[in-house]
Amino acid sequence: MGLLSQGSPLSWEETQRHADHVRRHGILQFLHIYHAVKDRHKDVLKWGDEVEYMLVSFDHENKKVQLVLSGEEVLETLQEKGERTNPNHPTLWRPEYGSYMIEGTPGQPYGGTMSEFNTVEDNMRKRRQEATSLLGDNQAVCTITSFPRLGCPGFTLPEFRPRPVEGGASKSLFFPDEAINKHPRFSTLTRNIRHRRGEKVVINVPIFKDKNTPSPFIETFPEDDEAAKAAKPDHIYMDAMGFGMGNCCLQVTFQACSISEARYLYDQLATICPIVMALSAASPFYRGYVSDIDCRWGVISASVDDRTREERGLEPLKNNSYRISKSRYDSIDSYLSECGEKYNDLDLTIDREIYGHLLQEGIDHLLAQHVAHLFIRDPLTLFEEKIHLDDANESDHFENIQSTNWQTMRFKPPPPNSDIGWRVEFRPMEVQLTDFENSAYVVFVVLLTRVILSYKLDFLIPLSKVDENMKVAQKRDAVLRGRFYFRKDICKGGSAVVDGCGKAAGAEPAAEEYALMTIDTIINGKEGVFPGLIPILNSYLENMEVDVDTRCSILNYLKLIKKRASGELMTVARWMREFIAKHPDYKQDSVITDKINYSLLLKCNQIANELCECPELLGPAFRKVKYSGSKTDPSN
Amino acid sequence: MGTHSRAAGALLARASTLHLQTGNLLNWGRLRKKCPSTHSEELRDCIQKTLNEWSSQISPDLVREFPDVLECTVSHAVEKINPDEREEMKVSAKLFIVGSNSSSSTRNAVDMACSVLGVAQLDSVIIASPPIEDGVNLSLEHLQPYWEELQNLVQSKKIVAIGTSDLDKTQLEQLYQWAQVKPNSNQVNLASCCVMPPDLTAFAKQFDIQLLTHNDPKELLSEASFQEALQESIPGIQAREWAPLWLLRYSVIVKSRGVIKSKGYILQAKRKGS
Repeated sequence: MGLLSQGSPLSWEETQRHADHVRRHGILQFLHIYHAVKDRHKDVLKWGDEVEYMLVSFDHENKKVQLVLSGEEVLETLQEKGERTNPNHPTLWRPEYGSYMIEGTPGQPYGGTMSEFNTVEDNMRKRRQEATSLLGDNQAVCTITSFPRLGCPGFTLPEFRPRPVEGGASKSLFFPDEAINKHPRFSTLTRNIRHRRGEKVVINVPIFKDKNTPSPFIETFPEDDEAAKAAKPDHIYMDAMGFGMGNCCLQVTFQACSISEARYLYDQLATICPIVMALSAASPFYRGYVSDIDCRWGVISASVDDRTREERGLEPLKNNSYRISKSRYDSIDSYLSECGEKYNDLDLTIDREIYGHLLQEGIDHLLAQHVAHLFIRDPLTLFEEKIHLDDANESDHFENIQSTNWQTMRFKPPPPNSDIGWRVEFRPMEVQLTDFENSAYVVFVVLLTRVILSYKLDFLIPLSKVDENMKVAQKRDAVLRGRFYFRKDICKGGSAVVDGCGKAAGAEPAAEEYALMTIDTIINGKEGVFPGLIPILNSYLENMEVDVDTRCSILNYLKLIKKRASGELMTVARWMREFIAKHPDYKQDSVITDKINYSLLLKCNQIANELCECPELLGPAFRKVKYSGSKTDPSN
Repeated sequence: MGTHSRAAGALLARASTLHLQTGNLLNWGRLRKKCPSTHSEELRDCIQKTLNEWSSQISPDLVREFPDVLECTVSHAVEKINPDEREEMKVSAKLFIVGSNSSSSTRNAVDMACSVLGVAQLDSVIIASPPIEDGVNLSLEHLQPYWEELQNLVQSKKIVAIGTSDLDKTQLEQLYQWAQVKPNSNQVNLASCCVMPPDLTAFAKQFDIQLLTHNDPKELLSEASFQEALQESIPGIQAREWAPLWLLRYSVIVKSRGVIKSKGYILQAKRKGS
């Protein structure tokens, strides 16, 4: 989750004193990069996925499952045996927020040929095996988005009691600081967010009201004033960064051929974020309760919301400069391509001085306002040794602000003095249980970028509508029940250049450009209404040379997406809900006990390791189909 | 519209050959509303739209000339490959033989594709199995005349690699043993990509023949459906007199980026008995 530096982290007060310094030099660093590489073009497609894992331990005797706080040691061994021994090692491992988490990526980025799509799942499987091989008995790596009993008593191994004291990082009633990664960046981030905000973070997730759920559902926290005030009735209350950043997700980054292609794809994919998020919904449970949401997004958003009361509009501005409408972790606030300009209908808070400076230096309005918007934020961590930098050859200050703006999309300038091009990161997806599903979502998104570029598609709608979609997408069963604003005519037809906007440029967007659609319509199409993303993907694939093995994999991937969209298959969230509803220990009271959690995670782990089938989630015996033909072990 | 189709009808009544090319379909903006249809529907739609575009732009000069060969195109969609970018592109084609016909079809089709795209050479040409009578199995003899022509085109550097479509293991093996220039790929139907016959897979692997996928119907364009398309676009002509000889579908892919740059159809039809 961003930049890692070794060294001595500064306190919030000291960090704040350097905030303007970091911003000023961050901008200089960005300008150096921009001027050096703004004309880069003809970069090839390279892309990669990032999968986050949780380390879990099963206590079969007591029917309990816990998160193992050994991420740091596991990571050290993975890196030592992997990338540090062999620069061509097929996997790369990085730390994550939770001490029970690790992040894995392919060792080398994938390239632009079709057959690379057939190596993704194999690489993910390698990662799972590699990490699993280092674990103790009864331990496993799980790709689950949120651990159902995160923050419940004894949820970690070893167990720790939370100590809600001012000197700690989270000051949480539920989430012990020991569950945070031991690298100082993570606890410093946690503490500084809390200090900047002036109080603990507040996360209230609506509870799912089952037959026996108390109504109103009220939790009391007599020993904690902040909690007593912040907790809302009928909501699951959480009070720590770990409840958000301690979740896992699935991301894809790809290199565009030029800056303008990167800006075009950034915008186009921004509209796809809520759709794919709802399709990937996998996190219905929080702090031991069944919630009424299916996606983690809003939880993480609240878990790192460092805005002060003034910035949130609860008090008149006195010490702060702006009202800020969103958390640092939220959907994007402005489009970057020329075609996007007329759909930029959100009030954009920007740092005026930075904006002016960027314009002066020859940056165009759209990019300048994007950067000036990111830079309204303060740096959250700063290391004593890393204050004074060489702005022409380093980018830490720019990355400091950039990488703590956790938005649905990220526009990534090349690192200084590297041969990497302009990149775009797609960040809304929830991680799935199996390597097959994760590959399916990743391949779907990367194929979609190829289709957008080939057919010059245009999905843009006003950003305020994308934001409405984001809200709908997180609700329970949004994939089937939600209606999403989507552009009706997605074919720009004929405008040959990536950043040309066709004839309609400048005109006010007409209301009838978009309509409310179901995800089924958006993904699978509906006669006379919308062509559907999968039919367009298929048409693209028919024009590409694809070998039979790769085509078979892609066929199975798209079948999964198609059936999740139509409701023929369940999302992970829906499947988990039904699993616990049927559990003999469940009392229809929205409570997930240790035993229920144990059964659920055991089942998840069996599915992930292909020890049992799960047709309602993955389709009927899809493995058999896949392996009965020519598809053999890729190593032979 | 009436005068347009009258002029087109008059030209067609006197010409003996029709060359129809769609130009780059990606410049057509044809995804609008309708789902991308099957290849057959797409093709029919393309033929009609091309005829309509062409007939609406016939110049009076052309009508006076009465050319023997009609060049029917969507002029605004025509797009040649920029020579500076040729290296980055892979130009592939699939050739569908429609009528009973002369072996010169293959050469004509490849020459036209090169000239339409402004390239000296196609990177790959796949020949769809030629039409044969019902109940007869495709054998080497059916393929030989076309393959000989394709081999010549490889030897004269008009094509880099040639391949086949829908051959089973026996057919592929026969061709491989006989051919001077070996097939480098064989397309199989999308429906079978997850259930490949093991003998074909093993043979292809042994001789380094790529197994690729397609989603074309058994008969992409029949004489009858061509005539219907013609009749609908230009009413009042004797569409039955016209028979398509071959159809070529090309695609231009930006190799390292997986992006389709261009895609289109070229077709040649002759007036029967001319």
